[in-house]
Amino acid sequence: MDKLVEYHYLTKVVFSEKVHSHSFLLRCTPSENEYQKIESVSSRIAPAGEVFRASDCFGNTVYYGMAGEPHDSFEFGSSGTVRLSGLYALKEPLAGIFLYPSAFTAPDSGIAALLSSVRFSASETVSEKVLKLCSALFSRMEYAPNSTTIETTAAEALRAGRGVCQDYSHALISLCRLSGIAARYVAGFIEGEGCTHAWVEYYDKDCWRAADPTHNRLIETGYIKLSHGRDFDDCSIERGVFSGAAKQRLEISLQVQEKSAGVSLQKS
Amino acid sequence: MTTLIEQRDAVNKWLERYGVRFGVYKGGVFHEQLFPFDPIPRVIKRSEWNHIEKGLIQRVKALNLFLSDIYSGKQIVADGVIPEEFIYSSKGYLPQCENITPSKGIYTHICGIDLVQARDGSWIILEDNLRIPSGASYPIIARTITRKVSPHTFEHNHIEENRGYIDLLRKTMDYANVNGGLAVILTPGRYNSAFFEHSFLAEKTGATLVFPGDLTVENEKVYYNGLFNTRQKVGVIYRRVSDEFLDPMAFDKSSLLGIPNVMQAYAKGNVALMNAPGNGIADDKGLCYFVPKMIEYYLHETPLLQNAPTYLPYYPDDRKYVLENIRKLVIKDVSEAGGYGVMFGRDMDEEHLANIKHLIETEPRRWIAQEVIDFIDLEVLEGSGTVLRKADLRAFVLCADEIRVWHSGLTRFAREPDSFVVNSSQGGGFKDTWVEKN
Repeated sequence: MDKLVEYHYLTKVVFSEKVHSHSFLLRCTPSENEYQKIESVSSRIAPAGEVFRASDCFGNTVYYGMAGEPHDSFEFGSSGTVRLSGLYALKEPLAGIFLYPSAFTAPDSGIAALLSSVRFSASETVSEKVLKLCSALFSRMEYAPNSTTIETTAAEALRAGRGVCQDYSHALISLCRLSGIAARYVAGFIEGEGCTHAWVEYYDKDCWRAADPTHNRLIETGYIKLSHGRDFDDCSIERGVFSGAAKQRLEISLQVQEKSAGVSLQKS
Repeated sequence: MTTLIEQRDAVNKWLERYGVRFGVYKGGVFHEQLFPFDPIPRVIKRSEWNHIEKGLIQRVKALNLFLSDIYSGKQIVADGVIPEEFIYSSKGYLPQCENITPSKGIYTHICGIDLVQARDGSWIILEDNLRIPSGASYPIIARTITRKVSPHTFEHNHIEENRGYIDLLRKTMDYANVNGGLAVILTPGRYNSAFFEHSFLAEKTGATLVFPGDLTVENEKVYYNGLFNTRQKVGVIYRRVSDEFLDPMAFDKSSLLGIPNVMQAYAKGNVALMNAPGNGIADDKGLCYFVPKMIEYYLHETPLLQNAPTYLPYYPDDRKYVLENIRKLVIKDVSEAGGYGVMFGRDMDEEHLANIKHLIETEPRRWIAQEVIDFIDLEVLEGSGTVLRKADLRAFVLCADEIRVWHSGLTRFAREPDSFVVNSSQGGGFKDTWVEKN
């Protein structure tokens, strides 16, 4: 049962003063895989000189370049239509790197303690185990916007008991890897949220399946994937370095709607 | 030799005038200190040197093959020689370098291999430095000054010239250069511990000394933006900025020391970076144990130079041995460098020992243990007499069309009588290293 989903994503960075020599690297277009097929996509990057496209080491599409001339805002994003299959499962050989801790997901005694409070039985599938980990985490964390920063690690977020999707995902990845389940961070879009979302892919037998720890559920469909990596740092939607002593403000807009239903689920 | 010794103060005064300094961070504060020079040279016999040279070339050859393998097919992991955990949990492994083939296939352009001589005369590898080893400039300058204050010394002693390092370095840069573009040395700046060396090497090799911000990437190529809006295409960057700060788009995003998107230009083959990013996986302390295995695996040869006997608590048998014999071992934290995180079992009190043992049991991958090598003492001038101090040798191995060992090196000695730690960041001094001529 395929789903046709249309989305519009745009971020505008507004600078308080003009900046120049602005180098950027973006991961702002959906990935193409057996779960999601891109029917059409167009990206927007402005201002920009010549823009180059490449794959990063995890296979994510990146756009990069330099906006040399002075500018006081920078826009990037993409719009498109994506066909989602009813089953979020990506058949791939296991890359060992996703079994080991990364900067944001290194476990501490708090994460180890939470893991040891979860009882697994021998007959459980990987998905059942991951769901148990999600639930354990969900009961310990409260969704609290602005309570953490982009530098917060899994261990810190769990200790604080608060966070956003990025923190939930880091914590779940840490728990999975500590229990021997390969896991990776995913950045993307979902219906019903006004900004980008993060979730977790875990390796089960021969494919990557997905769980959304922020909503305490396994994912079957409806999620549009942009990129994956060891943790948040590998999936930065935007990185930029510019010259100029300017303050920045972000304006993010995202709409995701199912085409067949024709209902806009969220605007911001 | 006597004149040389008499001239110690004169040499040190010249070193001070030349500004031969070493920056040290202590308690978060930057101090610049002179790097004390001892005039009694370490002399290495030709026959001995020939053996060291062969062993170093063999080792660097294997390390370069290892890096090329690790950032592509990882055959050595697939074949079970090195457990994948040692690769993926190392801070030195950078996935961003996967499937990038550097110019001419060279990763290890400039290697600083630290050796010590044991009491039985054998030379033993302490560690490999394959990222940005420093220190080559000190013996060059010391010898130049010695020549000045004691011109006859080198007429009577038939030793290898050491100024050849500059040619070797320039040759290495030119060989790696991808397009005949500008050769630059990128320094993090004035407050880097080795800034003196960066400016010295740039001046001597004729490469352009550049600072963060001088280089930009446009249209996937690297440009040097010089004075008066001049712009030149860059072909090779001898960068003295560490991997994590090299490109804020690929690594530490807060870095102001890097070149945004230089990794893209590098991946495209439009610029050479020396040393290659990602080399930290090969000189990770936890990997040192595997270097002899790499030599056997890639070259099908027997290692000519041995490591200090090393134990990996990761393996249960080794762990048991380490826990039982900790008093006679030296324990190293694999995530630390520059003489930090090195602990001698015999110096630790009961509480400290218990603590370390606990850490070894809970985080075995983080530690290695080595037998303490009883390495020879060298004479160091103190007051009007001499004292004995532990010393090591950093040999420099450079890779261009072939692998060459510089016929000199940096001999560092410990300041304190019982200390085995010779790192300049820990306050040691240095000597010239004389290699007997053929």
